[in-house]
Amino acid sequence: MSFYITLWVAFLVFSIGLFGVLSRRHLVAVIMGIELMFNAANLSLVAIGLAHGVLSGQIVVLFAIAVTVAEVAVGLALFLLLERIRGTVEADEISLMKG
Amino acid sequence: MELFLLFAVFIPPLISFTVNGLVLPVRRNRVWSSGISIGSVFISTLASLLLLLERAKLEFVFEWIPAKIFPPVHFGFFLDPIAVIMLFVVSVVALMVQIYSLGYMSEEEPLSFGRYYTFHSLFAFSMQGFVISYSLLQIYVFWELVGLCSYLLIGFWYQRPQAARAAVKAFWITRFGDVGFAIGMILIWGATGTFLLPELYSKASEVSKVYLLVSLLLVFWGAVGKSAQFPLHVWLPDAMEGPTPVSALIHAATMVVAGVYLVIRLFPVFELVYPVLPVIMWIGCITAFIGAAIALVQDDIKRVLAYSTVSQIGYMMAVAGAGEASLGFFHLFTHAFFKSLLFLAAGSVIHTLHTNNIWEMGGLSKRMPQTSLLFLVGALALSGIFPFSGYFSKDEILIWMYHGEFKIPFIILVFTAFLTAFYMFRVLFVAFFGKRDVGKKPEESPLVMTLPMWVLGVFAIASGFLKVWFFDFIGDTQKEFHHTSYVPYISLGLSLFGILCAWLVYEKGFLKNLFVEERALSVRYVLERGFWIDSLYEWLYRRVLDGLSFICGWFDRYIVDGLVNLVSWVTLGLSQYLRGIQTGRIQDYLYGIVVAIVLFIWLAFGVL
Repeated sequence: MSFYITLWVAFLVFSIGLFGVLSRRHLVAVIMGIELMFNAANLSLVAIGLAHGVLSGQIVVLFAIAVTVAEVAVGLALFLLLERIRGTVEADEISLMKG
Repeated sequence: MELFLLFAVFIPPLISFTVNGLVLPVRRNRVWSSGISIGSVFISTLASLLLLLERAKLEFVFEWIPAKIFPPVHFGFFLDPIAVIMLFVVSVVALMVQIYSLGYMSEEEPLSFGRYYTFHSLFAFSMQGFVISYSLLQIYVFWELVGLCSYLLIGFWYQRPQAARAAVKAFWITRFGDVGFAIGMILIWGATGTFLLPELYSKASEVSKVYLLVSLLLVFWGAVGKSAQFPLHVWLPDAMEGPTPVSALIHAATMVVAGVYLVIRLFPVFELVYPVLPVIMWIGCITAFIGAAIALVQDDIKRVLAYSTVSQIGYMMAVAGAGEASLGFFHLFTHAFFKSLLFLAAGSVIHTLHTNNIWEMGGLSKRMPQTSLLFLVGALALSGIFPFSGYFSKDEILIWMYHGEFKIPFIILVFTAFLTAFYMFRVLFVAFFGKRDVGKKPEESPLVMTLPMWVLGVFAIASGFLKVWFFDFIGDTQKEFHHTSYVPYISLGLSLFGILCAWLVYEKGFLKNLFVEERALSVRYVLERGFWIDSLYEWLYRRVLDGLSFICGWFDRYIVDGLVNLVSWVTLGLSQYLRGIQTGRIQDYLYGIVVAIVLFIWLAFGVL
């Protein structure tokens, strides 16, 4: 029972994160949404790993968290540079690829 | 042994061409370039003489283009008596002309002198290759090669606009014929599946008559272009812009008779379908008459000879079309010698006087006795006076026409024989034997020029007496010669009458206002314009072809280009709408991705 509840929670968190990514215009908020989606995926990995009685799910999650930290650090550094060069971190205003 | 001799015939000119063409120091050097070229042709002459004495017969074939679906294409050499004689003629005339050219072209720059001999070597190689070809495709290859040499040598003095134009005209018109040849050849191949001549002889009879008729007429169209037959004869007189030895070799003795040679080679096939031979005969007759008629009023000595060549090839075609190709070949044989002799003699005069106009010559016999004598020999042979060679070959043709129940062609050809004597002796009386003095001091040409003329002169007399040997050699022994026929007396009488007329008109001044003075006679007006055939072509080109081009151009500009422009216009318009999708904002793309994934999951798994 707790397996399904955990998966539903993970689904909920994922959806919230997706909503955040799509609706927010500030890039830091967007990356926070992405982090939420990440954690939802991690949560479901742990849950499914437990349900199968193997440890590999949790091990993968530990790796994923480590990678995520690095990725967030890189992302934030990019935003900082963007703020310096273009003076904005609003997603709508960065549209160089407009056709 | 025979194969070795055969290679000795046609490989040396190829080597000479390669060396002369690729090694610049050799081409720059008069002695080297001409020496290599003449030496190579000398070797081929010796080898072809040996082949002639051995009565060589040879078939040598190998697969050239192997193929699985279609029958393979062969390449090979084929020697029969006809090919052997033709090889000999080509080699001898080429040798004589190349020696003669040493004197005639002596004023050229060293480099263009070398270029001249380079082209001559290529020509000797291609002509010999043409003669010994085993398959129709191979004939076509060498046919085009000799055409190329003709173009290069007509336009040898390419700095002169007339020469360049004449070269292009010759190339263009012969190519117009060659298109027919190529199409006809491929049609025959499509039906019989072979290019090889002996296989064609046996397989062609299985092809349907109409199909064969069309393809053979197309092949003959190629011969019409190459051999300057009516209506494609207009290039040959203009080809006289080339050096005179070139005219002697290519445009009198060898290349222009390639069409006749082709007809002889394909004669067993031409025989199969009814209207082909009559077409050949009538074209030959018309050409013989038209050529002789136009030659009556030409003032350029070389153009007289050129129209005479057109006319004589008409004789060969006519008798081939009348069903006796070997007589045409005999005339080809004698004609090659006496016509190249005439050209070389004319060249000897042109070389010393620097003019082609017969009215600027006169009384040459006193100052150039050898040249005049040899020109007289050639003229007598051409007019068919006993015992010169033209008498034997032309009278055989006339006898065949008369006894073969070709009455109207016979009358045309006999009348042409009269005209032939008339125009040849017109030139002789005006330029060589007249009392007129035009105040120039011509000098006899050097030995290097007169010697080849003497050799050809001997051939021009002797080749007629070889008649019995000749027909025996080519295996045409069944032919009964009409010894009792009275036709030779008719033609001989008419030729003598032609000479008499020429003497009366141009020496004694009879009917002077009718023949000599310009524009006096409407016949002269017609003849001088060559029956308006050139004008007709010009009109066709200017009106019909230009009109057609105008329509095609309009179609191209507005229909074809219009379609392309329409496509681009539609694309541009659509893209104006489509560019709205590309907003450049990252979250719009993310929406797209999410929607696509949801759709994908829905479609793939049927959930949600």
